[in-house]
Amino acid sequence: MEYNKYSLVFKGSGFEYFKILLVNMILTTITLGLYYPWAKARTLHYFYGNTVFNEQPFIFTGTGSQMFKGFIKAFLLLVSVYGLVIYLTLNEQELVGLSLLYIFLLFIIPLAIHGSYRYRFAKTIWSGIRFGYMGNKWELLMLCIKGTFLTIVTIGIYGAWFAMNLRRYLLCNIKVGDARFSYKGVGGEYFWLNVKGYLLSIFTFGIYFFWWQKDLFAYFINNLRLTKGDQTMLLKSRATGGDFLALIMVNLLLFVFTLGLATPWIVVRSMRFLLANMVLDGTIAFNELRQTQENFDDATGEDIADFLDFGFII
Amino acid sequence: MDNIQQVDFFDGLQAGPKLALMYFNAEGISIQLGAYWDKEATVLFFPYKQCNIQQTGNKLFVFLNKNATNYISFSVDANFADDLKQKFNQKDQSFAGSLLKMNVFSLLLMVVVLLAGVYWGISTIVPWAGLKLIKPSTETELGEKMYQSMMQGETIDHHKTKLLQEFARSMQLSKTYPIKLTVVINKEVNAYAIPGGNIVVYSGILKAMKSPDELAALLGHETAHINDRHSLRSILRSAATGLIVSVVLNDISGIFSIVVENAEGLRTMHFSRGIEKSADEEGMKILVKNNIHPLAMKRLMERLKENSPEMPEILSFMQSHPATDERIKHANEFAVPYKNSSFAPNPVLDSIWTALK
Repeated sequence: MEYNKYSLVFKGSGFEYFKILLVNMILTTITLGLYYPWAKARTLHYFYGNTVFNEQPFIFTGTGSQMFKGFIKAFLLLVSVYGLVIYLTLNEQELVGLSLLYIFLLFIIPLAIHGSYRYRFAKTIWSGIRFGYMGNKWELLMLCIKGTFLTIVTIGIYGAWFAMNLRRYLLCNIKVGDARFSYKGVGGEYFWLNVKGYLLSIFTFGIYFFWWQKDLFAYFINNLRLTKGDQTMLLKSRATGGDFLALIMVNLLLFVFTLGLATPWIVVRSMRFLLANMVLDGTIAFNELRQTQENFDDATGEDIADFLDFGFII
Repeated sequence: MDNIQQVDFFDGLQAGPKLALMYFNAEGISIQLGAYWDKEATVLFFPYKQCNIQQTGNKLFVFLNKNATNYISFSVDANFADDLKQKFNQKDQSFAGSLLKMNVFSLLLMVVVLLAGVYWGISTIVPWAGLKLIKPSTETELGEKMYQSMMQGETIDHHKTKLLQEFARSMQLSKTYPIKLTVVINKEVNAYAIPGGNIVVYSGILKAMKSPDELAALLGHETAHINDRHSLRSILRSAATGLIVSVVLNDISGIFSIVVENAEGLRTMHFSRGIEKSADEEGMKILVKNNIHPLAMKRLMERLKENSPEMPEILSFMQSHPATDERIKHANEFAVPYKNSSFAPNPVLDSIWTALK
């Protein structure tokens, strides 16, 4: 087995992204929002295409029309549920309506995450090799119900364990060809990391916040790895608190002094920062990675996640 | 064949690149695996319509199927790169594609024009539809609820309320809304209308007024707010703004919404100045209808001016109510045609007035 250093870089520019955003805005506006799935496909395509691992770019092969079908299904589903809740509320059944809504959200969010992961990773290609998400939706649902319940019962404390269990489940089920990701972050460590970050941020009047961010990023990256048989690739963060301070302060200034117009540049430079601060090394021979994952075309989960505005969680 | 080029080929079975030879013509791309072209061996053919091209850094990638599992890559500097790019540029005739080729300033201009259009559209359609959809009876119902909650913690002068109600009944105020009056004990010189028909008058303003005409003018002004549904209009306007901010602008960035909200604040001020002016005018029409000289409105203004703290002229632009002087001038102009008309005194109003005082 040979020891390798791998490279991961972002090659996009703020200017190109700005143009894409403008074109997307024009088309989304004149189609009264219906263009949204195509706009999203273009943005994702741009970000994937400019993220290069070992000289080969990632590719997002999802299309606007696939996501449009999901968009319509998600729209109809959510409109009918919200319609029912509003109907019940107007007929003096607020409690029934509200509990119905919460139960619906409790079920739909994990299912949307599941659908979103399946679609997004089936459409992610690197070097001709498809990614894939292997998780089981019922297992994920049980995990979320248990997590939500215990988080409420412990007035939020269990949230840290819930977040890590969720992250572990999702990441451990991601494959690229015949290599598999794994994550070993646990609730206890994550909880104390946040307690420490929170308290020190207060005592230092917010200055420690940037070091807290550094710790969170490192906790995510350092616990992630990719394995293929007996070969592994390890990830490590080399960003310092000072680096985060510089990144966030410059972003803030850019944003304020351009009235938000610099947003595309801010996104691009943050992306560069995050990727440039990951060190990847190990023994995986990526040239031998094999195609094993199936294609998957249903984007409904992806679109529900968009409507509920929780984006793509890791 | 001299136009055969060497490229990296990815076969979608295993990740690493394989050496391949490629040539292209008007229809598509032909590829053969290996380092030497063999006329006997299989040639894979990919028509352009299923292919896509992408540049990342200084490399070009041609995806040979929609799944992007098969592709070739080569340097942007390769002598055939421009030719091949040309073939794909001809293929992309979509509207989005032509937009992407435009320069950034034209795009920015288009976005600004479109957003202005959307802004105008929403801020016109929402209030229009709202006024159509919400019936006066619904407004009265909702207004009554508002009134109930506003009256909590206020002391009502029941005796004066009754008298004032009689005063209003002897006037023709509104055909659509049941006008209901309430006198609240409060030193402030103020009165306001609640949508749907309620008018709240502070005892302070009653004390300040010197004649029944002034009171009639006040009721005329407040009734005009109710008849012309001014509150509903401004609620609908803020709803429209909220909609614009959340739907269109939230996706761009937070700071835009701050800018819009501030601009909207200034516009609202302007709007409410317009509303006060129109309520003065409609109020004077009500006075004329009730056989009261419209100059009573002017006297009411003067009374308000006497009782309000001085405000420097320069701030009048910032005030939500138009500067009283401006309103006095306006009332004066309105009254010009009635200069020589005579208005008979109204004994009923006069007697209630005396009782109120």
